[in-house]
Amino acid sequence: MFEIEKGLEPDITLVCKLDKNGIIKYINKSYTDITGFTEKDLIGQSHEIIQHPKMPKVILDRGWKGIYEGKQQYFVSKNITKNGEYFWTIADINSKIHENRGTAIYIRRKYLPNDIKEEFEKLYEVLYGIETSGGGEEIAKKYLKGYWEERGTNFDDYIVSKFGGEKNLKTYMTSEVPDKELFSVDPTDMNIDDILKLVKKKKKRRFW
Amino acid sequence: MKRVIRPIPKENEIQLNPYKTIMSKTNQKGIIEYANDYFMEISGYKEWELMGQPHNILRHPDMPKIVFKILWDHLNMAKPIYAIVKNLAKDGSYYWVIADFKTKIDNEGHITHYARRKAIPENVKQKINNIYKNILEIEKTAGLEASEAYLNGLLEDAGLTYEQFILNIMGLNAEQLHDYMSSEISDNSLISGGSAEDAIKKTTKKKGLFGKLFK
Repeated sequence: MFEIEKGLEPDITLVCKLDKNGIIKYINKSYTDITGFTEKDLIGQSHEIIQHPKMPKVILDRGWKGIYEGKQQYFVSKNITKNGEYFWTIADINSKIHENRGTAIYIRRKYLPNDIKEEFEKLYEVLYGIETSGGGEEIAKKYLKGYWEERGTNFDDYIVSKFGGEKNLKTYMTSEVPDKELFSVDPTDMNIDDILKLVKKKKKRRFW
Repeated sequence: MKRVIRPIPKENEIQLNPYKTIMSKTNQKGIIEYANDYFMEISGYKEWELMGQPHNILRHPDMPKIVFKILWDHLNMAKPIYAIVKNLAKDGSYYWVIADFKTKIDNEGHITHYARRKAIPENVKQKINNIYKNILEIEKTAGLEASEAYLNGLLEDAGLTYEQFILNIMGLNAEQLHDYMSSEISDNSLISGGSAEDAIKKTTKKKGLFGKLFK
């Protein structure tokens, strides 16, 4: 189960909207296309349905903490499809409080470049290992703190710096124009440089 | 919480890459909170085996207890300190390091000890090994107080403080040792192999210091 990686083209955006309890209220077409779940499967269900079982709790808690604080944040996650594949994404999470209708959480997910994926794969494996080997979440939390301390950065800043700045990352997260060229590349094997080239190309097109 | 069983020592030395740094972080009681990749590579443990464990599972039985007493006396007073240590890897092998400790106290009063460790030259290993052997023998027959008195006598005789003793044995001055401990050369051509002597020369040279280091 969850041994095969699903390729995700870099111009695909998975969009979903959740309520404050993490219940799925809306998903876009790419979301059902990629995950293999239908709208019937997903609407009204907990968002955990596409969460890989080995996602570290300390990472998920950090995500929820940011949501409760109403902060925009980036989130790296390992997800699963209905037929047992996995795929990594970088997500941009925003929460909004609507009068009368309560809090809504908006998540936009895109392909996570291969080189970043490798780092996070290793980190999450370590965190999950600590959490499940009797160490528990507190110890994993401390490890994560030390991990960023050693690198002199934090989660969000690190992601942003990998993309060469907030502007590039924002452009990437919001780019949606299909680009035929992309489909010639193995979508599980694109590095950050390939992505950045793409982002620049798109920018040009947009202005043109 | 599971316990890690302390390995049985064997006569096999793990050589450190002198351009790499073993880093770790413990709480006030020496419980490991973080250790870097090179720590894992050298000690042979996995993160989930080490995190939350006392740091002394890496303690080699050849080490005199007095060294750790001095170390903790400093750490408990939040004083920085160096120590030359023979460590025990998971498979029972050993590795020598010079360790540099710093203590931080945050706004809430939490105490954290940071440690970085680097390789030491072969001649330093031999010298310190002989000294530790003598101290350990005294400690085994007459106890910790006796080994403390002996070490104090040794320092007095040489007219050195503990820190000067470390510098002396490393053959470096305070600035040079600090530079070596903080050096991180990212040039891969340098990282392939090389002795600790070379590493010290290169790092100090890089900083523009000319040492008559290891004559």
